[in-house]
Amino acid sequence: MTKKSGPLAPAQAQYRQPYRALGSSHAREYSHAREYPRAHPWYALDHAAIIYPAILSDKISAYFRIQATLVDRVDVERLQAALDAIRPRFPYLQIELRKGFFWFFFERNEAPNRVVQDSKFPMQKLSTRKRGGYLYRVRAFDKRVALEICHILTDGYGAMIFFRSLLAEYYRMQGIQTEYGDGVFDPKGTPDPAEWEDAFSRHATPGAPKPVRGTAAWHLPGLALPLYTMRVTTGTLSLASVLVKAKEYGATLTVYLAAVYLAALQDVQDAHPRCADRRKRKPLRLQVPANLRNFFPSTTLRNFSLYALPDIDTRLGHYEFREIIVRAKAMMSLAYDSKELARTITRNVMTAKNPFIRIIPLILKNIFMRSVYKSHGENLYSSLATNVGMARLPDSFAEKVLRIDVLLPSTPGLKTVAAMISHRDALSISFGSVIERNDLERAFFTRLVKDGLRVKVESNQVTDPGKESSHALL
Amino acid sequence: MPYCSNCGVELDDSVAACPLCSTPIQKFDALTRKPEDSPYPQHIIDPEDAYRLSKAERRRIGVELLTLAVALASAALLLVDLLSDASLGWSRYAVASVVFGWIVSVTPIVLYGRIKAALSIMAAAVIAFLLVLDGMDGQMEWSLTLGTPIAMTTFMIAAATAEIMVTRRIKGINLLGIGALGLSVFLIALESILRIGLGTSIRPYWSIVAALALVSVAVFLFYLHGRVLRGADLRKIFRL
Repeated sequence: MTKKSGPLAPAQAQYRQPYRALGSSHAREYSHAREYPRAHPWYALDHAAIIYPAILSDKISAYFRIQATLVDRVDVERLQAALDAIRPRFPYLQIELRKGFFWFFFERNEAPNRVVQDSKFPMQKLSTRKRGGYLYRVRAFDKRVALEICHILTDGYGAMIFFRSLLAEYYRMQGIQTEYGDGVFDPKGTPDPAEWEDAFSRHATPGAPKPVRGTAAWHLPGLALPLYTMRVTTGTLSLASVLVKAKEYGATLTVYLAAVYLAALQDVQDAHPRCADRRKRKPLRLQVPANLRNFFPSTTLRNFSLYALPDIDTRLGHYEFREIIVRAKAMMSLAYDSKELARTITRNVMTAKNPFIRIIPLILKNIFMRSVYKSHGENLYSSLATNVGMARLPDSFAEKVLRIDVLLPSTPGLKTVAAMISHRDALSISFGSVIERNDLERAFFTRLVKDGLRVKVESNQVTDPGKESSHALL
Repeated sequence: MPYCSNCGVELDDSVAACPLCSTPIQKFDALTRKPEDSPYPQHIIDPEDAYRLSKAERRRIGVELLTLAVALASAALLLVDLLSDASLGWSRYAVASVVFGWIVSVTPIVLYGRIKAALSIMAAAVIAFLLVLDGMDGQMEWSLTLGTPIAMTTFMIAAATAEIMVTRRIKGINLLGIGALGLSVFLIALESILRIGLGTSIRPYWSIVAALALVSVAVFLFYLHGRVLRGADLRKIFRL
């Protein structure tokens, strides 16, 4: 439990100043910047997070999950002790979501956070109406430890540091010492105010032209699975062999996998009867998120990511795989440019700072944000595939972890999404889907197999032998 | 390690079919793991489900909140009236209205999914409300002659019209015609009740004029439905 005289108090000298004295406008949004750090601390949501509370529903959970498969069974009591030990180091995660009149905000949460049992269908939304509810939870089952965390709190980078620190503390309690640093935080350390900054505000450049708005993309067809269920299909490959394969095509791992994904989407679209007439098709567009800390100086553990949107317009004809690779590589290179990214950052930040938008009461703003999410969000891309990169577990306990997976929750709009992460030589690619048909997963993995890679596939949805997924076309 | 002969992917020892294409996997019993060794937990219930309220629980909470609000509002009204006049005067009317509002709002929640039963109870509540309002000063003046007959006639004609509409095989523009006929019957009945209640001449006048106009509209609509549009769906015709 977070102590009252906890780690927020010793803020750096500049943050001790009254907020009026601070030059940048974003800094005043945090109570820690004030002279009364213990009065009733609260945080404003960062600019990527403000959309999520409005869209949270039983169908859209906005929770993602990092899970580790260990060599040994999980000692739940020790995991609980490790969680309790590291929580004070991450005060910006120990919060609950509250409604203000104009915006949602985070309030410090003093309730205990228990490790909970895992279930077959992960990443269900946690109640944010109930007071004392956290926006993340640690779950355990057999040899698996999982962190399910809401995107309102942080992105994959922040979640990975928390998860790494949790595992390091868990193994420390078993007598395996790990050096702090390189993404593993010392539980007794003092949180740096830069860890909870809204980096979007700092890197917005007022006056920058808005990004060009994309057109609507094609979306996967398919009947929805029952509510509160989700199919998870995970494929594991040898990282070294995939890297060799990507090099053969002159691409990076992310570009290669994004191209395979686009090719798989094309396979599904080609097989769809309604797309028989090419003129009636819509472009296939993939969202590939990028960690903005690689482009802008920031060590924030809150959201700080944007995306590239490589696409293929199948109205122009069938794309061969090499054509897709060339196109994806070029489009991602153009998008992952700090100036281009600054455009989108500025648009997002300036929209939220617009006085006319700010004075709209939250209840109306939510309706507005839900429609914006559909029209300017999901509508513009067919699916989402994120590559979190290397898990970078410290050598001290890396051997104790067999595999790391990242799972993304799907939404009724996107239906199927994917996430990738590597641990040692194991590259894990996990699909989360809320539709019955699994032809995208099948097209993706069989393409990898046909490319000469060995893929091991598992799923939480047990199908009876010989019983096809209903309405599958491939 | 088993693999799918169809997709070419490798699979876990515990699975009986490929998760991608459902092709049965040939297995050797000695190597096969038990189902409980599956890498995924098999219990479906998420601990969080304990906090998720079912629809029935939400309805129960809704009824509780409405009842509490009505009880508090009624008590406040009665107390204010008692404190100011030392007797119950105007507050009886206000409380009757609040209780009527409670019955009308709680009935559809309690009888969720039983529309006919809920509507019947709400209709009875309207009649009872009219009688209570009229009888509060000790004598029945307008409720027996006007209020109750008008309410009952309205309900009966609306129910009959709805029943006829529901039983139509093709629901198109003919429904508008049935509605017009129902309205014309209602207008004649209304004028008759008003004339009997007020003790004027029994012969209806204005309602006959209105009914004739409505009947001619209905005849036109039936003709349009049967001969021209041939049972076309309203949604199709008026699609924006």
